[in-house]
Amino acid sequence: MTDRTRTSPVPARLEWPSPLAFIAYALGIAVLVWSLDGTGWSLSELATGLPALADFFSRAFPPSLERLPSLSTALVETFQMAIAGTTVGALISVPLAIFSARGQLGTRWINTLARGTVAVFRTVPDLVWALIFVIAVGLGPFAGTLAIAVDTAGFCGRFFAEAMEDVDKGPAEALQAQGVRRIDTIFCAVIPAASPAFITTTLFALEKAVRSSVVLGLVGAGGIGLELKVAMDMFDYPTAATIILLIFGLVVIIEQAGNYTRKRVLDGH
Amino acid sequence: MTVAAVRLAEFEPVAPRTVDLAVDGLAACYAKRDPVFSGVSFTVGRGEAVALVGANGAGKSTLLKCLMGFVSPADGKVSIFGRDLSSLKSGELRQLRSGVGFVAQKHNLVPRLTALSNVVHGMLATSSGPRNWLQALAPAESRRCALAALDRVGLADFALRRVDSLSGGQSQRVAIARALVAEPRLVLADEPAASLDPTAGEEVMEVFARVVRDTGATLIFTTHNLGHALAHAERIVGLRGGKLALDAHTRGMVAARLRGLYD
Ligand SMILES: Nc1ncnc2c1ncn2[C@@H]1O[C@H](COP(=O)(O)OP(=O)(O)OP(=O)(O)O)[C@@H](O)[C@H]1O
Ligand SMILES: [Mg+2]
Repeated sequence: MTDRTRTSPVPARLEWPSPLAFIAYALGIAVLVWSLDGTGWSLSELATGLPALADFFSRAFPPSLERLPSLSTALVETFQMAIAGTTVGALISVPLAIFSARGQLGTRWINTLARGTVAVFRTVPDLVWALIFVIAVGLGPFAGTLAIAVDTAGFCGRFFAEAMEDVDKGPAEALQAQGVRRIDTIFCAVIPAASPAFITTTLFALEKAVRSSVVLGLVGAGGIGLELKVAMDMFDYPTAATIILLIFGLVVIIEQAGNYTRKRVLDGH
Repeated sequence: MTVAAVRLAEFEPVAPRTVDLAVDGLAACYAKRDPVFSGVSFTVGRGEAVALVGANGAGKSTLLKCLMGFVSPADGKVSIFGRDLSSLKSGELRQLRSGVGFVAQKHNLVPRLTALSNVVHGMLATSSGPRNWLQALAPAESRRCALAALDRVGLADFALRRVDSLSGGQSQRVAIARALVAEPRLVLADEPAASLDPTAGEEVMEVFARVVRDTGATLIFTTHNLGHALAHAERIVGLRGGKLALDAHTRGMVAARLRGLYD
């Protein structure tokens, strides 16, 4: 019982950072201040800008329903771009993920190539892909869909590969002990176990695609984005308001459907 | 031909038992450390059931991994079906493994798939390809074999149940069905009943030993349950202090004699 009294001293709640950590914190704060300054942050300008914003809203209200039919068509096109692009991209990402996941399949050379491809797909912004595909296949939704497909392949390729690396190795090893080929264990053991992650990742990719397909319209790659730009450029704020509300509705519906499906998948269905 | 050779031939047993597994002077170690065991030699004949026992860390699992070619021996050699594992190319090793069934302590089933799909996977070693990835795509022959294997372990009614909804004992029986569906000549098991409660463990061991015996396959299993070892094996091989300390028939043996392995 005497041991109880000989406990070590109570540790301090906060430790002083090491000199190196202190420099890192200071540097971080300096970069933040520098960035705010460089982008011209000023509360007074924001305050004087607020009436202009109020003016925009008062002129945008009530939203104009005049062009609703043609706007709806453009919205549907946006949705189709997102669905088609995401599906194609997710399909392309499966082989990319298999070859880029550690310890699955292929020679080191193929693994490096696959990882490099995924990295390029992911790091080049979708807007840049859209500009490239507009040059390749011309203005219109096909260019946008291709841009979404490539962007999704990069996004899903990375997360699919991570999901495959994370699954329990036991089932695949047990089958390999019986002489089953790697390629078979990937499809019968690794991918089924990783499938919830595949599905939730694809749903996130779809939500991302809906938002980006709006932006892609701005560079002429199809969808409702172009309508929004035209309306804004022509000061047709009531129409712009309608477009914004339509986009908002679509994004909310997709996200809700995504949340619902994700929940069901994670609950084990 | 010399006279001596003729004489020797006369002494050969009438029906020599085929040797399925021969371990000769085997030593294994992990990454430059002291060997886990060394100088281990024994043979196992066709249809024999052998229990491999020893204290925690004695090297039972390591020995099984050597038998499956997952751990390369530091010394000595392993022959399965008369073929030296170290002489095989990877394709040949896979070919050889397709004649081996394996059951681990963890059932290692693929979650989210049905029991039947998991058992169909056992056919992949002999018939590779997409059709045997899922029971729904599988050829009629695969499905029939898989269902028969499930039936032998008493789970035919659970064929379309997802394996993540099965109990531990049921899961382990599905794993046994998967290991046996392709009718392996040699079955290896690493503590197949260790994660189960005593009753379920007893049942699973019972079913396992019976099904293996029915197919005439050779069985090597590790266990800490000396009752299981004595009841289901004809022979016990014991590891202790990095050496083969025991290789004896179970007939007439009592558990108390094996206590020495754990001192
Ligand atoms: N992957 C590994 N890397 C390094 N050392 C290992 C590895 N696996 C096992 N060992 C070591 O090898 C020795 C034998 O382990 P092994 O798992 O074969 O024993 P075991 O007889 O199966 O024990 P248990 O009854 O607990 O299952 C142990 O000392 C262990 O620490
Ligand atoms: Mg072990």
